[in-house]
Amino acid sequence: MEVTPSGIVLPDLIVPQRRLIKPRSLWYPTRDGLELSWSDLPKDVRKFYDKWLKAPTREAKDLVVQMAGSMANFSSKSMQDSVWGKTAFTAAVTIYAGLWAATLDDTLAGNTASECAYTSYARLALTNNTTIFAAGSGTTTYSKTWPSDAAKSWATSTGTGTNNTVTYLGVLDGNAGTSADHGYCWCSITSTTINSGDTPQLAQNAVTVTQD
Amino acid sequence: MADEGIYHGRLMADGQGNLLADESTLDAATGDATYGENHGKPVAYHEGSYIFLKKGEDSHNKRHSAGETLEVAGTTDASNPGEEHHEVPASDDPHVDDEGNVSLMFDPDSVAATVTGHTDAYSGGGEE
Repeated sequence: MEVTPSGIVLPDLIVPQRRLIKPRSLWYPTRDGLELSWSDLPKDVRKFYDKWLKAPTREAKDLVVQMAGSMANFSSKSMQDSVWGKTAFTAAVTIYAGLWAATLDDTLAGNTASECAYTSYARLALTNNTTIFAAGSGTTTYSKTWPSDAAKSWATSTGTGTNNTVTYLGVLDGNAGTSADHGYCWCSITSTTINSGDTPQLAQNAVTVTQD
Repeated sequence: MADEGIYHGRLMADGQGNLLADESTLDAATGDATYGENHGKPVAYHEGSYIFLKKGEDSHNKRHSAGETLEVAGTTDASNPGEEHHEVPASDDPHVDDEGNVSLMFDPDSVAATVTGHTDAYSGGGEE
């Protein structure tokens, strides 16, 4: 989730005027700034920044753009409406993870075309509880990592079918296969071809959803 | 069920490489789900159909697993082979137009419900 800068105003404590904060570049912490606050950072955050700072020097965007997915429109709206306006949001009893052979974006829904269809493919059903979706970590940046309890496998393939080379993972609140299934989030995955007899698997804690 | 012992409908994966019948219906307004009588029952692909498994019968995974367990992992960096779509969609991606803009395609609901994740999508499908 992002907070757009145009919605933030400086407090008018001294001069009674409002100024919009306009970003000139991406915001990320400097090495000096991190050194000052290092001891106060949680261990996992220190580990993240340590890896980031030691990364080989490439173009700046390679260091900053690390997102390969996003919350979908439905879940972003639901969270906002819940916080701002107290509109109740009831999460799905079962969350379904699907595989796609084409690009996904925030408009993901159950009827998004090019979903994997190897013979015997079905979306992976994940009971929406704190066993599979355990509490996250972090304060300024909160991360949820799942599946928390164990690796989860899709059904074993019994034939090539169609769209069996998958490149995206999509997570939804239903399995009707129609627009009634709302997108929760999506991300790119390493291109994987699923042949007959293969069993695609999501490793334990393979997915991390981060929010700042 | 079209025939006794044969399942017809939506499928879901149980996390262990197996198939279950999915007869859930989600109420979008309340988030509540209702379930059909066969919901959650184990099924397996068998000679072009999906059959209900009786107690003690081999699971779908045990019947058909002969290949690899393929880890579905996140992309790392676009500069690595096979990871090009980490930042920019592939040019031959059906969800990308001629100018490189991403615009997802959606099937009509009447079609989408049975083209994948449904026994109709794989009826008669051979083991290849």
